[in-house]
Amino acid sequence: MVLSSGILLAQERTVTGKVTAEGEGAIPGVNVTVQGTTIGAMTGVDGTYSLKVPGPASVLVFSSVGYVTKAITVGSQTTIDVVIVSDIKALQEVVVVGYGTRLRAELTGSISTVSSEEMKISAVPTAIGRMQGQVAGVTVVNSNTPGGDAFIRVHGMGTINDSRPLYVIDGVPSDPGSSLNPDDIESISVLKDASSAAIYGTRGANGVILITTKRGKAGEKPIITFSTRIGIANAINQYNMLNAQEYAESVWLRADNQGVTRPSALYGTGSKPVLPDYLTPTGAKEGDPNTDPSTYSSSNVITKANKAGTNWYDEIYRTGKIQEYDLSISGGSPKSTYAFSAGYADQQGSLIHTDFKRYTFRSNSDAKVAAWLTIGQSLSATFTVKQGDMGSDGEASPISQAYRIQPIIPVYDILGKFAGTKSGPNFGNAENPVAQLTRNANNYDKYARAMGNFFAEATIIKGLTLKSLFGFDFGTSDQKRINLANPEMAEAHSNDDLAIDHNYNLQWNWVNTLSYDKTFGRHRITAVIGTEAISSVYTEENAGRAVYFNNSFDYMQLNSGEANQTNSGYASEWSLFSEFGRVNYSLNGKYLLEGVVRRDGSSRFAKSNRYGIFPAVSAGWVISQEDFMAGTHDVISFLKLKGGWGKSGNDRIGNYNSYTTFGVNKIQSSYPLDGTTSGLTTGFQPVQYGNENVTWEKTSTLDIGLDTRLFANTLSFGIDIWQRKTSDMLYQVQKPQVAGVADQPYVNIGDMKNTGFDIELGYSNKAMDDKLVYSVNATLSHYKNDVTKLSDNANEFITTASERQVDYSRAQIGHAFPEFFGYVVDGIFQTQAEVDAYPAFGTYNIPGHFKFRDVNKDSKIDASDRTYIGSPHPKLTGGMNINLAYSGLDLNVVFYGSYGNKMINYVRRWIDYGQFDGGLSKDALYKSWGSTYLKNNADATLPMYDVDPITQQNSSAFVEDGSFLRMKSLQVGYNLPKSLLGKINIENLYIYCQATNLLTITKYSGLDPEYFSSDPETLGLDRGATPTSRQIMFGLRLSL
Amino acid sequence: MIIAFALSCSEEFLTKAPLGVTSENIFYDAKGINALLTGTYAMVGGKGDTYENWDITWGSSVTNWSLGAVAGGDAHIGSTHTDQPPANEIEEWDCQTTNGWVADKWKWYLKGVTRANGVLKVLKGTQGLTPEQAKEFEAETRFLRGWFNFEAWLVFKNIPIIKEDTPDATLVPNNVDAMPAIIEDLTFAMNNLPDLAQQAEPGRPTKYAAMAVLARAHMQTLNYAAAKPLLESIITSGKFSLMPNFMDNFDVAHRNNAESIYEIQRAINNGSTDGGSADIGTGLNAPQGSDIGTCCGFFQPSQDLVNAFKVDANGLPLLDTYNQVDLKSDMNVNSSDPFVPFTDVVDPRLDFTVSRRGIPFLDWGVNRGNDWIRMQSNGGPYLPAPKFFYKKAEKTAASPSTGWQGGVSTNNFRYYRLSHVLLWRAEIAASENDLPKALDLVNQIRNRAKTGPRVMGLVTTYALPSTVYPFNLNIDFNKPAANYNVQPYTSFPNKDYAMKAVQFEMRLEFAMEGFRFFDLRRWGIAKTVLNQYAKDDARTARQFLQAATVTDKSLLYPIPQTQIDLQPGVLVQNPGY
Repeated sequence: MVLSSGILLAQERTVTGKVTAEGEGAIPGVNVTVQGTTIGAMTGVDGTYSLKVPGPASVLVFSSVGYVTKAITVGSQTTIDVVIVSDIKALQEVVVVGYGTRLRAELTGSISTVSSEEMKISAVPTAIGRMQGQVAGVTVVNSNTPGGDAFIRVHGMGTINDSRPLYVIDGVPSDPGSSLNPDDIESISVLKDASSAAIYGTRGANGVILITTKRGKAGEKPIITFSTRIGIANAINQYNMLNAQEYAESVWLRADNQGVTRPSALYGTGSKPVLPDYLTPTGAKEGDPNTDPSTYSSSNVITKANKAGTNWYDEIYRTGKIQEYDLSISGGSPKSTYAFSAGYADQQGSLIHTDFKRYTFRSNSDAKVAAWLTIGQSLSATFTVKQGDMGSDGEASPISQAYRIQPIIPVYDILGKFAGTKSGPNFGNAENPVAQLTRNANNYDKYARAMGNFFAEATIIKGLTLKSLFGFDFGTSDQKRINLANPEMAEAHSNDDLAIDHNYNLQWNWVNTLSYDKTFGRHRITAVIGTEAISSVYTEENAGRAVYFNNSFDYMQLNSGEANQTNSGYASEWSLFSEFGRVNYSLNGKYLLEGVVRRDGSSRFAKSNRYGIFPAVSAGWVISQEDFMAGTHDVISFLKLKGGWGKSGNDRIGNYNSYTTFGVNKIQSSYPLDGTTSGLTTGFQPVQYGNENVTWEKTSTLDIGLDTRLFANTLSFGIDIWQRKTSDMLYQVQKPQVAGVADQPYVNIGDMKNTGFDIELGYSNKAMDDKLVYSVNATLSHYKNDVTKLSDNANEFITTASERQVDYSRAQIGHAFPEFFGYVVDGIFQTQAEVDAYPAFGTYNIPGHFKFRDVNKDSKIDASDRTYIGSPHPKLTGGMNINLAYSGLDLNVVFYGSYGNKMINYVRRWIDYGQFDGGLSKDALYKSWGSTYLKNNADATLPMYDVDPITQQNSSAFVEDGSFLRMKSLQVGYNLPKSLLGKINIENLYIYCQATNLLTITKYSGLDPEYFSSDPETLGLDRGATPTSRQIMFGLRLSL
Repeated sequence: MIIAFALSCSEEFLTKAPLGVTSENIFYDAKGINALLTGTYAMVGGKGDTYENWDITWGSSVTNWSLGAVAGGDAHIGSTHTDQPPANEIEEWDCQTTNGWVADKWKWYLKGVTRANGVLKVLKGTQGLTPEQAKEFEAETRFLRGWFNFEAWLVFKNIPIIKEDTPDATLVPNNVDAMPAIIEDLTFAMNNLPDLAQQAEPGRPTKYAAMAVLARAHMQTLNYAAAKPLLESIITSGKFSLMPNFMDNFDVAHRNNAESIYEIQRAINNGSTDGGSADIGTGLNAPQGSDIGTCCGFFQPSQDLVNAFKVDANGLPLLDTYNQVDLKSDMNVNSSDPFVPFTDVVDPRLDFTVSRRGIPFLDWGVNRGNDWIRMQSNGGPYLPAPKFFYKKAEKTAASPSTGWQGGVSTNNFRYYRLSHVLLWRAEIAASENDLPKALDLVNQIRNRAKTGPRVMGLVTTYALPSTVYPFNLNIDFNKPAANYNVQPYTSFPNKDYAMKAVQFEMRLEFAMEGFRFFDLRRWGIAKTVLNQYAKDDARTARQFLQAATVTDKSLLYPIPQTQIDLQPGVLVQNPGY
């Protein structure tokens, strides 16, 4: 022991030196450690260090946040000067945060980012839609109608009210919708916890999404980029419906089950139904004199039976063409930068006559007009057109009409006019979906938007910057919808109608900030204080006419309509004024502290409750910088522990909750006192009861996270564990109707809790002499939502989703918002003896009907036996993105999945249970109890097909596992070699082929487990929506 | 500096009052009170939704077509069996406390009452009205409040009475007899409302309207003594007379006629594709598909009702035996197969009340049977018409144009008319054994039916496939559509017979108009009559009333459970629920 110490001592010596970085000079705060020991020192303000090393074999490791770690063997040296280089890839990455930027390594809040590269992977046309699977803790569901918005939630469902996050685009609060060109985006930051979102005060509670668009770089030569993508989209799923002959059998099966006479008008009176040749004349055979085309008249709309059966999905699905073109030029002189872009996208829907077009223009520039003054601007102009029937969700949408209409009905009658449910008896009340889509083909929703900002930034003294930004968002939409007469439909619409909607919104915001950034030795302080004023106004005008001399789309204008002159309108305003501040302190890049406070005043609340203060604190500890970690740097490149607490608000309860108002309404407050058939005396009605005592919802979040990078930054792992508590949740407490019937005000009464974790995992490396570059990035998120209070009534619940007199989901204390609510089905009664031994349910219980569980054990079945039967919230959602690149070739695969969420396939109420006389599923005929096709009734998967409304009550029979794993996208690309491109002066040319939605693994029986619902109340309730399409595309990106 | 500037203007900057609406303080003058009062009138027809435009609240229709007519055995719910589950509960006299249609009625009555109270509150605080103005406003408002409360009393009986000065409406119990308050309001209205000649606008009530509603309230509690002078006053006033034609009480052309005492006014085409003040509450009740193309095939008359129109050789109804044998129907007969309508002799009012196969339906053509019915196996072979439906020629002017709502029309609902008053008075006469008086009054009604027009057009084409244009047939428009006969009674042998005859006449004259269930209840015969009806209905190859029974509980509808939950310990559920 003594000996060995002696030897060590003998070889021990002191090494000194200076650490500098290229272009930066001396670097203080660099860790200098002896590998494999706990010996270490830190560079001083002048970048110098001094430490004793055990011997010549010792290896000195120089590490500092933001720089590539460097290792040097001491050998015989006693002075070792080191030049370290910035680690641009990971640590110097700048992340956009509220009213500023931070180094990624210094973040203390829960913030995730999406880069422009990641935005390119997805083929979805909306910017928000492209975030799907890229960010842990964020749920994104895309609408599948052309140009439809995506739906996004951050960290579960933060409130029973509007839980959309706040979007800020280049400092201007505004929702990107489908009008922002994803190609223009440089980066997206998602502020997930309150410690990072509190700086947005009353609006930050549901997360903040900061979108930054591309700018040029100073001194950069002009880069011209052209990219295009062309392809096709197809809807790939259909319900498995009965054909015409099978449907006829189902009609008889139902009559037999009900014990009523078999309808014979169409199908005869034989032992098997026989399909007629004609529907109009009812049930006619070929040769019937009334089928002679010369007898065609409005009362004899001769219509053949489609004996083969119309596959309505084949009729409305098509191959939609997709085209996207983007051109951008960016660059800069030493004192100014510019980025211009123009884009065009045309996305035809996978349903006939549906289309979305987008034209975008953008100009972002900055100029350093003086050494101390920079001015700049962002400006975008967008024009979008949605055309055709965009009804996506619910029983009136074309996709639903396609299952609601019977297969025997042809698309057209013998003269080529549309056929429909009026062409025969008991054809139900569906619309011919081909007619619907065709008639609505020209209907449009045009949206023109201009938004952007102008700013000036002045450096008062070094480190102190004053910035003033004025932003605006102006949009106007013009919608024209014609509703043509549909005489072929059972419930025909008799006139040609026109509806015109115009709206206009203008919002401006003015932000003034004073920022300070100063390093004192090992201490770095950055701070920002500021004010923001926002004002927004919205107006809309609606008008309509009916009865047109000619029903061409162009002729049908407001001036040419002859009857039913209608018009109405709406207007609203809100404003917000705020003061805010944030201080960051960093000790040596190792200990990080952040404090935030914002004070908001909002017009949405009465004077006495107008102002609120939102604080947040967070801290980070870069453990890998500690001396004691010195020996682990070859394994642990970076390790940071962070945690934060903060409070933010949600003010989305409409603009006028504090006012009691009276209004006029043609139907509800007016009356024809004079006795004429068209005159109304206008009266007033109470519209809303106000509440001056209301204030915003408060959400406080606790977030603890770990950021690590291992094995020389090849493996990264981040985890955040969070809890969000929403209190003073705004709720329209039900008032007894004796107190008056009008809109009840919101009151601050509810509480909600969300807990969860987000994991982001990445691995990237090189192999085969760096020729193969590969990476895998995965996200995994979990949240659990709990309503902890709704009102003072502990039993209060909200019926969140109802369809056709049946309630599907509820929100109640102790459950998630929302959860499915209904009966529990314990199989199907097989025998009368089984029925007799079972608690009665009125007269419902008979063999072949559902055996509903006596949940409350009171020996009878009734509405009080309904209970919670499943949650639409997933236990886990995740995405995975795999990249391989080899010598110019690359492959990219994106998976997205959801696990543990339940869905209610409401469509089955129509196609399995026969809500109305419409199309039916194969199961209804072949697998329902009592079907002649069943060998054994015990094998029945459906109850007796007799359209008993109690069978159709919501029950566990409708609840399905909605879990899925989907290959969202597969892309193969090739970067043409420079050697080739150099000859033709092309910097870069990349060609690729991309396919989306190639593979889905799910047990869900509906069209698409990735069901889009923009309303959280109907979460998981599949009412029949356009399914996700499969797209095959070819693209190229060219830079000069 | 910027901060200071921004702070100084922030209060003004942050004050944004709502646009396009107003606050209560502008209503404190005659114009304002009239505006609030008009908003209260908007409720008389039964709009149960909160305040939105087109409300889908079928249970709250003031016609009581479901709660009164269907539950009274005049009709089935109709349509398909899965269309409206709450309606099935009403038809089967088995309402759950969660029944949405019943809940709509509750919400509607309170919507009306609280709007009326809002008017009275403002009225009390308004200076500068003439005493006449103030009295007229108060009388009209209290008429409306009495109206809403009485309609709710009919359905629930046990209702809280909320007044304009009730300190906390949520504490008012529903176990105090509501009738005195109803009578008080209607009496005030009666004593202060103007006479017919002074009431310029037919939508506003006269003193006779108040008298009629008040008389019905007394009839409903069998307080004949109180009802009698009121009915006498109306009859002897000389202001009202029976219209010559039974159908004058139902067609659009004869609105607000000489027989009419109070009508629910309806208008459309007033700037709304949705039907303006027309009654969406009956919006499901038009024929679906086929030649008419409206919606939704609800409210199909029962075989029992059709049978009630049978007459004997003397043109008199079969008071006790009418329902022993069914008149022939086309149940389960395809439209393309021949069906000869029955030739039995019936009261001509049948084909004004019920639409059946082979009989012309206004100007819409000949009812082609099965093809005109949404689903015979559910609702039976009949349609409600033409009493409540508009003529084809009137369609553009009389109904909104939008899809399924096309059956809603501008036709007024003649809720109270002289014929009601005459038959109520006859009921009192019968109870007093004043047989000549009862006979005279009943015969006034029957004589009108006798001398009035009939449905014309004898159809001799019996197969009615979809190819026939429903008027392009062999029809003899000089002949009545069926064999009709109706004669006055020659005498009433005794009090019981007279009472039975009066009750039967009410059914025939007011069939499908929502009175039946409440009439059977006040006469104390609801359980007997309706249980027999349910039993007999099984003959008609419909399945759905086989297991249904009327119990004591079914006589009142349940107080909505959601409201009891919101007012625990204050609202008490009706017995048996």
